[in-house]
Amino acid sequence: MNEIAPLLQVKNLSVHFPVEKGIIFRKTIGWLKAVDDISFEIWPGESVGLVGESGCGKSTTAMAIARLQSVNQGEIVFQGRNLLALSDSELCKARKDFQVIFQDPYSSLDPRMTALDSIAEPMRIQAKRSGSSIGEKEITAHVYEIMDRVGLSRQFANRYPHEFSGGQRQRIGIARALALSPKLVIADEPVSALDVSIQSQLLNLMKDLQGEFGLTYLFIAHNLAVVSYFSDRIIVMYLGTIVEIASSIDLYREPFHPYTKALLSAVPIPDPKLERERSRILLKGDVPSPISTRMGCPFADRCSQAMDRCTRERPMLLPIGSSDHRVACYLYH
Amino acid sequence: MRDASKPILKIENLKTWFKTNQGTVKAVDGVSFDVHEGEIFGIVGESGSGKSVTNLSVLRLIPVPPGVYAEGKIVFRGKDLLKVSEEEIRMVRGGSISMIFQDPLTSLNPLLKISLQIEEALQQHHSMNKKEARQKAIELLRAVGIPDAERRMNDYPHQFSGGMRQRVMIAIAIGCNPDLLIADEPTTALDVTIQAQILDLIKSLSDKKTMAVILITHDLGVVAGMCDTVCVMYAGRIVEQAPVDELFANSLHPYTIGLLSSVPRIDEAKTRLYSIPGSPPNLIDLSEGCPFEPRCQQRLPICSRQYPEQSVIDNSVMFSTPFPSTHLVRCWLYTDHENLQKGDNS
Repeated sequence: MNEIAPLLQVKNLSVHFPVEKGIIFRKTIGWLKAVDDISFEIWPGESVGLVGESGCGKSTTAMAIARLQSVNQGEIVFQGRNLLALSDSELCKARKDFQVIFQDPYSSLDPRMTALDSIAEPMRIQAKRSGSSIGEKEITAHVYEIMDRVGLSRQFANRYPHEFSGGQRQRIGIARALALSPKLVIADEPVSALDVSIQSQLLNLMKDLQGEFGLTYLFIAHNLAVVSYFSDRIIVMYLGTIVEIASSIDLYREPFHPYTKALLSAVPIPDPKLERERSRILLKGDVPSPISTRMGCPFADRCSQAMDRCTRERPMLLPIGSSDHRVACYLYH
Repeated sequence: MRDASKPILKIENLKTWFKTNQGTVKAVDGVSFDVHEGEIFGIVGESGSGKSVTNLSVLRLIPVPPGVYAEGKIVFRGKDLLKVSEEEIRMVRGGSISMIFQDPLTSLNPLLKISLQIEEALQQHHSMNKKEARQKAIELLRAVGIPDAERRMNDYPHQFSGGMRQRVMIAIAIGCNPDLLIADEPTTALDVTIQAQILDLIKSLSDKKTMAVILITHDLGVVAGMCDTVCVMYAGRIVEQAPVDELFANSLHPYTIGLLSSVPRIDEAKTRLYSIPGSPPNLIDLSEGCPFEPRCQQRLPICSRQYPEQSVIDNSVMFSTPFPSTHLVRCWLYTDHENLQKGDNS
């Protein structure tokens, strides 16, 4: 496996937002560490899920990788090049290979653009940038092809977003992301806004497209069941840090981090018998504010197994034995 | 003592429609069910299936016009809530029936301290004085698990987190010891670990009191863990209703089956999910037939012509429930449709 290079490597990524005070003379009084020194890699052809509760920094991570969010520290190496070191025009060219599907199919489409225009826009921009002579005719033909592929009827091409249902709109979002045949697709909660029956249609579609176009996914969602269905490997985040990385099968079968255990036990299973027999780990309290500075493990104050050391030093993300399963917890190393 | 066989709420053939310029939207079209003392009654369905409108109708919270209560009865404590005066329904709201909503931020008044919002209902319904109400409010906040209740009384809604806000909502809702609590997607806006806390709280409250709960949700996992009886709604009607164990072990309606197999489960590694083709119908100008017919894999010729009657099915699994345990389904696959057709012709 080590002979192939990872498609994406995130090294020590940190995204901090200033917390400001004052109306006229704004002073920075602290930093909100949305993403705090995380590292992981994505191999070509896999789907990696990023889960965590609201405020854990999963969307910020995704947006930082998509270069839609400025970064304080770290490196994002995509296909061997650090995206943070590219010039604007180089970045624009590189964007062809990584595209984003957004959560809200209602606000991520321009209401004044037809489906055809929305899907064609990335191609038009790239054509202009690279000075290629691809014509409108070819672009339209390509749009039709993609529309067929994502299950949108061609006769809808000239309709506007408000004429589509939520599921159809998300199909436009997927078509737009695929228009440039990207290598990496970053999907930020792509199905959270949709109903159950539509959700499964789109998850299946995205899986099919993966095989067909050789896509690699970074799939962000708060719904663990959806993520574990969709992904090969799962990254669990808590308060801006990665607490555990494992294959989705291992993560459910043998979670190590106390937070992962609590998270998994809280996911309801649609089976009344199982639900009655399960014991739930109820966490005390809420996720603490990410503004406060803390030395130790971010989960220490809600953890039932916290030790002295946990509040003093932050545990590193280390592998368990020789496996791919990595966890940041002093219970294991 | 609670009497599990006594229905406290009886909805009969409720039809709540909306008159719009495009036509009449039959949001709820002939819904009937009973909720018994101490029962947690789940209503599942996708958006637009009429689950929220049904429950807003119970408290007459649908704006009229454009809404109309076209038909039906909602009998609570022997009175038809659709017929009582405005004065009376006001005393029911927040008194013997209370409601919690999906989004606790928009259902609390951002300008008032939460102490005021909890005390308001208590003073209104129990004619308590200020001091008693305050004392009771502190007790309630403690009961729903808000730490440092006395001090938090003086905070405003924005100073609480999402989970804590939902606890405040529950405190307000249970303040007057309601007989029925309607929880409309109470945990949809919350994270899973917080969802587990809130559901645990609702369950323990209904166990302790004789309070019945109507739990509206789209999450079948939540239903499995919480409810005694479940009904599944589609396009304004109940397509299947059964005790929770029966519904999950022996679901009959093609929509219920489709829904259950299209949810990814964390305990199962599936390579592919089932998905119901198509999308929910437009509720204007529904055909005479079954609204699920265009998406159904098992449709019969009769399905597009006539809506099926309700059939009662024998329970297939053994389970103990103190509540009446009928399994109802509305689907031609389970009715003797050939005889019926003959009957029609004669």
